[in-house]
Formats: sequence, structure tokens, C-alpha cells
Amino acid sequence: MLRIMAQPLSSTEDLRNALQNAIRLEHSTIPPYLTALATLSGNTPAVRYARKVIRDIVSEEMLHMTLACNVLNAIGGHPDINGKGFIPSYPHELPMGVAGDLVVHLKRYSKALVENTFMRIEEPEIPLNIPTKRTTLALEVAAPITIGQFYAGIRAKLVDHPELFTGDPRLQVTGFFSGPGENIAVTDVPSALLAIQTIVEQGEGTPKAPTDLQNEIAHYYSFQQLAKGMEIVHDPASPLKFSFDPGKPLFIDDSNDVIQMVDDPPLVVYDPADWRAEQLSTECDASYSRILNALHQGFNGQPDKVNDAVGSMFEFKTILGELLQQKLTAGPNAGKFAGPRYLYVG
Amino acid sequence: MSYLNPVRLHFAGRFRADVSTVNNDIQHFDNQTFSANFQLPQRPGSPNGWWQPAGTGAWRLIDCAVTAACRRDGTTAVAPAEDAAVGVAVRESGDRASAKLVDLDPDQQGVSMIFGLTVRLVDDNGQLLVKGDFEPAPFFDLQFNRSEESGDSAACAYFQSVLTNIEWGNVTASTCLTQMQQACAGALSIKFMTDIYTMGGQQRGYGRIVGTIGPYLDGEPRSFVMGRHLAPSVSSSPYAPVDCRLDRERRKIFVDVGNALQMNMATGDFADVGTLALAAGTGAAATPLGILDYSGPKNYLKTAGVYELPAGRTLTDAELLAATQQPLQLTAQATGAAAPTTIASESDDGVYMRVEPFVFRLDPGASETADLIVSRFGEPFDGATPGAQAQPFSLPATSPLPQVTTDPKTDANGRAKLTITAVDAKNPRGFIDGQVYGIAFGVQESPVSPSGFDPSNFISLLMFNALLPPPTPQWDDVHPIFEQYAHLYPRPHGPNPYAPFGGLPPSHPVVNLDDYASVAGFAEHIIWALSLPISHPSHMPVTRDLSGAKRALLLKWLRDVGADGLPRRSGTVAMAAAAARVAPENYSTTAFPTKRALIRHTPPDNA
Repeated sequence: MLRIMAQPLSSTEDLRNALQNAIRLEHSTIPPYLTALATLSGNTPAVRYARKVIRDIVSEEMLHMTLACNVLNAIGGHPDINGKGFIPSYPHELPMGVAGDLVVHLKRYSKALVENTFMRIEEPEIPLNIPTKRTTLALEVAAPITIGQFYAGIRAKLVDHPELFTGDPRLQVTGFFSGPGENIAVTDVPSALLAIQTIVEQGEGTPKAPTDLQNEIAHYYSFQQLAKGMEIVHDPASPLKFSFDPGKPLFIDDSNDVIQMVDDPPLVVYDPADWRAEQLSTECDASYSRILNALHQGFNGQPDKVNDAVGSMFEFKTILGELLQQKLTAGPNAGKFAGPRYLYVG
Repeated sequence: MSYLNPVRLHFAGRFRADVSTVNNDIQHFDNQTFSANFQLPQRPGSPNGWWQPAGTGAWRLIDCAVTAACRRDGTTAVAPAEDAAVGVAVRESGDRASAKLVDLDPDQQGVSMIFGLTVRLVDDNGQLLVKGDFEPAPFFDLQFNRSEESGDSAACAYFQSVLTNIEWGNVTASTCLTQMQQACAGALSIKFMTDIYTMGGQQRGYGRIVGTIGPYLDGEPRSFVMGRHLAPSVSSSPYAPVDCRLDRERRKIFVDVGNALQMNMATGDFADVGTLALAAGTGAAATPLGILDYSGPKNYLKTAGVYELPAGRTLTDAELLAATQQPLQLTAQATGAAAPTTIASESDDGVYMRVEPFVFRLDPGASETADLIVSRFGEPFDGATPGAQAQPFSLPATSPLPQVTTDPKTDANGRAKLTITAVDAKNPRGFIDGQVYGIAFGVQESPVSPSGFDPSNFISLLMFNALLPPPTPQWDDVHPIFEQYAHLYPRPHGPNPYAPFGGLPPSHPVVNLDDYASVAGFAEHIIWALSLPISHPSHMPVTRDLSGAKRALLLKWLRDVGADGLPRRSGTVAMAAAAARVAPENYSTTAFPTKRALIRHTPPDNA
């Protein structure tokens, strides 16, 4: 389980800092997920299923980032999306992460990446064991400081201090996600608690069900499908109402369905012979920076700029797609493909 | 004064024009005959989708920086220690998608236009010094003689426009920028050349950009210099037009040969043509006005081809008088040559005219008014009598003409209104909406034919078809429109997956416009992009060639959803666009071999 360092929550400023860290945390999952998604180049039903699983999760991480910004704005804070340290320097621990606990890399899709990194990021305090044909399960022991506890601390603080909700309602960003009741404005304690519940449950599910507030499979279990290699289906016979279905296998061929991207592109120096790989990496960095800059404006008084961020995301996809088609011709990584660095360039 | 101002900065770097080349070939617009190989790169024996089928239309500034800062006192700084503006980065927008480079139409690829560009000067610390939005502008004076290379690699053209919505940072550290801020009235003038474009290999889609930024003053033309204009006398000349401006107060003359001269590809500087000199008048009676010092390494990058003459002194009374009253000539005399040869000269009567804007996209019934601006030896020509005439690029028998009218006379500023009113183009080309027209213009008082003097100098108009939309549009009604874009722009909008490069992994489009489910699932984003102003970089379609009627149809279909909450999938088929996709027999579907063929396709002169 991912453990994070406890955040001070004594003062209002502490609370705002904690929410800023929440924004950083929610964002920090997007580059590794997006990278894995973009390397899934195959066109089999299993690949298409996996792509949808990851794409939906990335979309919800964007929602979580939005909701965390809304909560911070609601209590008079100012989300900082485009500071130099906002994007982790991958490979790195996630924001607030305990050093050495879980180092997140930028890697091509693999079952191991999903199991050892993505599921750990999303892991609930007590993961439910969705049965495969009604087997029993062993519960993991809760760590002292978890993401769930981190958000629980923020919840408690907000409940105790309704007077903090003095933020300008015009700063709220809504309407960018289509799920019912998801992308809400945060103006008071109940709406803040709903936002946090959405963030936590979409990632982890509830202690009793692998689903979230919107009755969708939570990220942890959704990723678990890819790790187990089979889809989750509704199953009235299951105590959790869901089962992994061996009849719906998900087999992804690591060599044919996945672009053989170099590990951790930020650490790779391309040979001058691979000029285009370096150049497209730079354009990819600039494109991602444009997204963050637009979001920063969007969350700081110009909500319409979120549209420009979305427009830039589509452009990012085309640049990333071309970057991942750059087969390196020289150096120790010859034969592998270039990948994104997510370096902020202003 | 425009960028030809003592206070100006020059910049240089690279650009990327990631244009799709599938749409370079009119044959590829025909949904009926479209073939999947049109989305593949060219290979020996098959042009396929030409040399960059996966292009997205993006246009980016790459590694651009200020190379020289020129100040009011005539000094030029070329090092940061001399002026803090030198060395600062010239960057594109930081908070929205990249700009786009867009042809007007496959039949008129000679006025490609940049939309959605923001230009930022940013120092080493990331601090903004100044930024502005580039008013969309097409290139001008496209020529293919820049070097001994072939195709677009030998091409050169310039873009001139204004930067608006100017936002200044702290520029006190730079004398040049401080003076520019003081001189400008809310906008900046910008001109840049693009050349050394690469069409293959690692650097495919990248080229060189070198340019100038100066103050824009109210009342000036936005897309050309109100000054003196010189052109080669024969179309086979390896040179291109030259722009000059006489600065009477400072007794100097600016000469801009940035787009005019050939390059030495080994050095990246102008090829050695010997002594380049400017004179007023011709023959023995000519008055020399100075020599252009284009020597020294990186001269072009540091000057952008702009020189102030005479060097080291000011014009005498006699020189000033000659420069005011007589046509200017730019000559070159090679070492050892007996006599100079003329590179470019002003018209004998000094008359020059331009229309701005000079590229239009109009729906039937729509009307737009442009400024026809006439000068004589750089001064406004008051009382000139303008005229204009439109001609289609093809199929004259079946292409209705737009109405073009002008004011009877130019005013004291040399300006007359020129108004274009579009009618229904009546779909002469079948599978490409509307028709493209050239509109030539002139004034009765001068024998000078603007497009004879400079082949780029005419108006281009894309006039769309009228469309009777179905009352309740279905997928079948809109599909042919979406399908054409899916064909022409495969990386962002084509098949999923798209694997154009053998042995390399495929990519996934942003949205497959040929697929109902993909389009329906993306409806809100398409609505947003279709509703953006044409100047916005995310405006859809990238190519800005969708008529207002078709845009309205797509929006109605996207918004007027069925009982399932999704855009309507099927039903009656009633669609003029779908019905009229058959090419007329007399509209050639033969690909134009290069853009060069297109710029020769200029309309006849009139006036």
C-alpha cells in the first residue's frame, strides 16, 4: 500500500497546503497512466478494453484534480498548477510520498506496471477481494498513513470549520466531466465532502463494495482486471456482486500490442542521430506545459481557459502519438522507441 | 513605419509546419474514389498522400531567439551585454494549442495562412517581456528560387502582420524594447521569412524562420509596408520583390531584401552577388543611395535582410530629392563585372497598390470590405480611380462570379473601399465545396498591373456553395462532410488505428470522423471547436474551409439529439452535399506536381 507523509492540518494555511498537495497528488498519477495508455498500440479486443480502462481512469484523475481545486478555491486558496515543481521528476515518489516506498516510473504498458505501480497507487486501506468463483480472501494490514487517511483528515478539518468557505464561487470549475453529479461546484461543507468522497471512492471503492459513489468500478479493481487478465462482471452470486470472469480473458501481448518505449524517458539522452526523437520530446514537453498553464488560469479565475487546456490535450495526443513512433537508431536504446518526459518548460 | 523602423528587433530560429499533405491533391477530396493508400507516405512510383500525410496542420516556433536589437539612435546590439533583448526566446503561445498553417484551398495553395499564433518574448528566467496575438495572415511573395534545392526546400515566402492584444512585461533592462513600448500604439508590426524547409528525413516538416518586429503605428497598412516596392522585371529572375521605406526625418532609407535574394546553403547567408547597391533613377543619371553590407557570418540572421542606407551618414538634400521623386533600383555588380545588373526596380510612375486583407472565405450573400491602398513613390495616391475583376481558378463556364465593387476614388490616404459580395458558388467542382477566385485590381491612372508587377499581388477568394439543410439532420446527412476530413487528416481524425509507416507502431486518432460512435462520443468537444472563432488555434476544421451552412448543419446535428440523447444515427437521407459529390467531367483530378504550378495559376490582370 502506498503510504504518504502526514500533513499538518492545524491552521487554515496548513489545510490549503494539504489541498494543494492533493492537487499535485491527483495530477501526478496522470503522466504514468497516460504513458502506459499511449503505448498500447494494438487493436485486439483486449487492448481496446485495456485502453478504455486506463482512459476512463485518467479522465477521473483529471476530475479529482478539478474537485481538489474546487475545494481549495472554496476555502479561499489558489491552486498552483504551473509552478516548476508541480510535475514530479519521474522516476520519483508521488507527492507527499514516503521516500523509497513507491517510486513511480514512466514505462510502457505491462501487467507488472499495472500490478506493482498503478494498483499500489490506487490501493484501498483494506482491499476487497473480488472472488473468482467464490474463493476466500486475506485482508491486508492498514498502514499508518494512507491516502484515505490523508483525505479523512481534510474532511474532518472542513467539517469543523464551515466558516472557511469564503472563496469566490466564480472560481469553481464545473461542467467538464459528463458523469452525473461528478464535476460539482464546492461552496460549503456538504459539497466539499461530496467532492472528497468522489475522489476517494473512484480510486478505492468503499469499504464494502468495489464501486464508487457513481456505482462505477473503482480504479484499484479496474486495474486489477488487467493484472488478473480477466474482466470484472456483475455476478449476483458474489458477496460483492462482482466477480472476475475467466470466460472473459484479457490477454495483451507485450511484444506485439505494446510500443517498446524506453523506460523513464526523462533519464534518456538521445543520440544526435535521433534528432527527431529529441525534437518531438521537446514539443511534447511544451504541449504538456501549455495544458498546465491553461489549467492554472482555468482554476484561478478564468474557467473558460479549461477549454483551451482540453484543446491542448487533443494536440498533446497527436504529438505523443508521433513521438512514440520514433524508433531509436543509435545508442544503448537503439531499436526501442522514444517516449514523453513531461518536463515543464514555462 | 511598420517593422522598417530604427527601433526594431530581429530574430531567427526554426519553425515546424506539420501540414497534412493528403489535401494537397484535389483528387483526394473525392469521397467516392478515395483510396486508403492516399493516407500513406509517397514512395517511388506512387505519390500516395504525398510527403507528410500524417501532418496535423500545427505550426510552431522552434528555438527562436532575438539576434539583434536596433535602437532609435541607429545603434544595433548583437550581444546581451549591449541590450537585454538580445538572446531572449521568441516563443509561441504558452496556454493554448499551437498555431495552424492552412491553405485556402487545394486549388490555391499560394496564400497559406497562419491562424492562432501568439508570439511571446521570454527571458532566461521565464519572465514575459512582451506578447501579442498574430493577426491571421497569409504568406506573400512565395518563390521557389531561394536555393538550388528542389520543391518546397527551395521555397521562401514572407508573412507580415500585426501583433495585437499586446501585453508588456518589465522591459526596462532593454533599451530597444523600452523604446518599442514607447513608440507603439497598442500593436506591433511583425514580418518574417520562412525558408530551408525540409520535406523528408529526420527534419521533415521543419524549416528556418528569420524576422523582424517593430512598432505598428495607427493608420498604417497591417500586412505590407507603406513605402517603396521594387520587383524583378522578368518572371524568370532568381530574385523576388524588395520593400523599402524612405525615412525623411532621419534621412535614411530602409531596404528589406529578406525575401528577395538567394541563399548560399553552405553558410546560410545570402549568396554572393557582388556589390549590392540602391540608386534612384536609372543609367548615368542615377543617384547612388548606398551599398548593402550583407557580408560577415550570420549576417542574414542578425539583419533579416533589413539594411539602413546610406551606412555611416545621412542622405544629402540631393539624394533625398532623388529618392523622393525617382524610381528606386537595386543592382548587383559581381567582382570584375563591367556593369551592374538590375535585381529589382520600382515601377516608372512609382505607383504601388495592395488590398488588405487579401484572402477571403465567404458564404453566399456574405459581404466583406477591404482597403485598397494606393501609393506613388511611397506617398498616398489621392484621387486614383480603382477597378477590380474576379475570375475563377477553374471552370469559368459554370462558376458564378462574386460581386466586386470599389469606391470611385481613393481618398487623401490613398485608400478606397473594395467590397466583395458572395453569391452561391453552385458547386462547380462537385466534391470540393465552392470555388476559388482570383480578383485582380488596378487604377486607371497607372499602367501598372499589380499582379504583373508582383505575381502574388491579387485577392484570393474561396466562395462557398449554398446549402438547403434537412430539417432534422441524420448521420447520413453529415457523414459525407465528416468523412472528407477523416480522409484528409488521418492522424487527428482518421482511422483507428492509423499505421502509415511500415514497421512502426500505429497511432490512434483524437476522433475518427468517419465513425458515428466516435463522433457521437466526442460531440461536446466538436461543438466547442466548431463554435470557436476562425482565429482560435483549436478552431475546427483546422483547414478553415467549411462553409457557414455546413457548419450550421453539423452543429444542428450534434445538438439536436434523438431520444437516446445521442446525435441522430439514421433516417431520411436528404443532403445537397451528399448528392453533389460527382465530379464534373471538365474538372481535372490530376494532381498539381508542386505548389509552384499553383502560383503560376494567377488570374489575368485588368484595370
